Amino acid sequence: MNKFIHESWLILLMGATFAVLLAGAQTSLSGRIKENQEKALNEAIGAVVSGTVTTERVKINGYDRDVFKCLDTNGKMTGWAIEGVGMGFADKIRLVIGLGPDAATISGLKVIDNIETPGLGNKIADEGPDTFAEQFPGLRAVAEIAVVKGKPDEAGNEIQAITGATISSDAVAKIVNEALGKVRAELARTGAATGK
Amino acid sequence: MDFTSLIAVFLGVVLVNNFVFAQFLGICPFLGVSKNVSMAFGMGCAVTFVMTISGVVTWVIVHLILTPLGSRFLGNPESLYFLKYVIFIMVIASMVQLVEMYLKKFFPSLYTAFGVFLPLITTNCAILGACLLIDMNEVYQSSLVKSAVFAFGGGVGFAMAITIMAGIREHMRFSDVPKALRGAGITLLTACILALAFQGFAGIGK
Amino acid sequence: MANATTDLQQFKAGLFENNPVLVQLLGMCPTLAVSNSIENGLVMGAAVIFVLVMSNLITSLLRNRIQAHVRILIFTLTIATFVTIADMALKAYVFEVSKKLGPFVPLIIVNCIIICRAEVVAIKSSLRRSLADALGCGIGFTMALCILGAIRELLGAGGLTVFKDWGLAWHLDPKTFEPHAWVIMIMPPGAFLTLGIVIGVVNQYRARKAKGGA
Repeated sequence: MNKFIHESWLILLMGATFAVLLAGAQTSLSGRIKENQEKALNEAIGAVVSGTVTTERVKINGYDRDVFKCLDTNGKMTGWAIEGVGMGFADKIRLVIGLGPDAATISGLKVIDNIETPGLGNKIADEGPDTFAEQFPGLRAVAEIAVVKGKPDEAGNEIQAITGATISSDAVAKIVNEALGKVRAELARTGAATGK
Repeated sequence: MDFTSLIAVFLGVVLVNNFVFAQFLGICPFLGVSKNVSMAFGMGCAVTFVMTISGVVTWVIVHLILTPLGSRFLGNPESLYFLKYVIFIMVIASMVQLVEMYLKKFFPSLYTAFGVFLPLITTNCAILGACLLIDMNEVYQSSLVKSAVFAFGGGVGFAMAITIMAGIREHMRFSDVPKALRGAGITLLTACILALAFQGFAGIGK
Repeated sequence: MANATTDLQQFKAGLFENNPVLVQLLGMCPTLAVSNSIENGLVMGAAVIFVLVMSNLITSLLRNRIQAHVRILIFTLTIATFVTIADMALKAYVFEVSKKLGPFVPLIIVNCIIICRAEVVAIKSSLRRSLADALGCGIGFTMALCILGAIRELLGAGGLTVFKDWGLAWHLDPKTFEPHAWVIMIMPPGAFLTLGIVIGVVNQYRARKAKGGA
């Protein structure tokens, strides 16, 4: 027993000290880390549903990602934000889709996480005028979105693929279509009931 | 469990996101132990073996011990996650020891084949990398079987990369390489061409 | 390094003639993985310097108490603890970059530079010497990352951007060069290519210097 203590007191002492140190770092920093993680999502929601100040998480049956009901300062509904995740060219893509209050039109799209090819596929995350994501606002949320290689048809709910990155473009459209397919019926119903 | 998604996970990590060529894990042994094919293959097998076991054990510890303990006693399932990294490295170190003893006792022939590589594996970042990637990706967080396939595939991908490299280096032994590039330099340049080739696999997961 | 007599020499050795990455070829995985931009290199370097300094100091402080057969365990325990702290600090203060570094921050635990410095220097040297060594090697590592990062970012992205969100931008406008950028340089093959060539250049330089000195 004595020999055991003699051999291992240092390790035990260090283990205990380190555990206290780690617990201290955890308590002092975890708040900030959580804030950072939520900030990224909240900023994205603000970008896709304009005028949003607060959000409420909504549970949609059959869809296991987050869906948010977005409200402005007066508590008036500004729209819906839906998180979508799916496989891209290299790895998974995570994005937020914004819908109008009636869940009938898309108000915006923002890619949060992706590691697509730099300069090609990662253009899906570009912001500003004439970018890939800018094609989404105004599309109908009640129908499937199609990806075309040439000029998109105004009436056809179409978007143009990024040159040289058809797979990434297709992946985004697929994620959006899948997410909307699962939530649109329920959102339209609740939106009609509470939006008035 | 649907079988095609497991195959997708396996091919994804062997070819598309190969540990060596796309994720830069296990570069040290890749440069150091790739001088001849049989040694490289032995190392690859040892890594695959330990990686699969460590991947499964760390998954079990995080999801069946840390998470329930945290939510039971501290109210938040993530409250004990700060111990993760310390636990991961301890698990890997003890797994390596266990595997070494087990092989020595029950499979002496296997032990002589790749026992020499086992102590080196503790500091092989591919093993810890596999555990961390499993821990960070929500697809694997929710499924032990997928995690196991991922860890196994990661090992197979590493073994493949290091064996290919050793094959090439054996052929290069008598090539006239500029003096400054001998050793690490030319190995890295060869790896560059291999990595380019592996880029061609990207997108087959779709 | 065996003939490094003063603390200052020990510090300088880590920077140049014993540079952990370019000469000793240690810590290759993070070098290849996070050298796709200067910014990643700087943040990664800072994390490694922090862990290296703490691990060297603690090892040196306890050097007369650590028994030989448990030393690796103690090194690993120390390193894992400080890596966890560094990881949390990065997530709290430079969230965007920490997301890009991904698993390579926790992977500092198995970075051979740190355990190597503890084993070679800290376990048998004074506190001051260990600190000098840690700073030298840490800064040497950061320097190597930044050199590679600068080459790859310049060629691959067409410009250099450092801490854009912090107002500290040193910005070479990517728009001027972007159409001519070689995207492959910031992808995996570019990492192998750049490191291979840089190591070749360093070897050539050292060979020439050795010849000139002899």
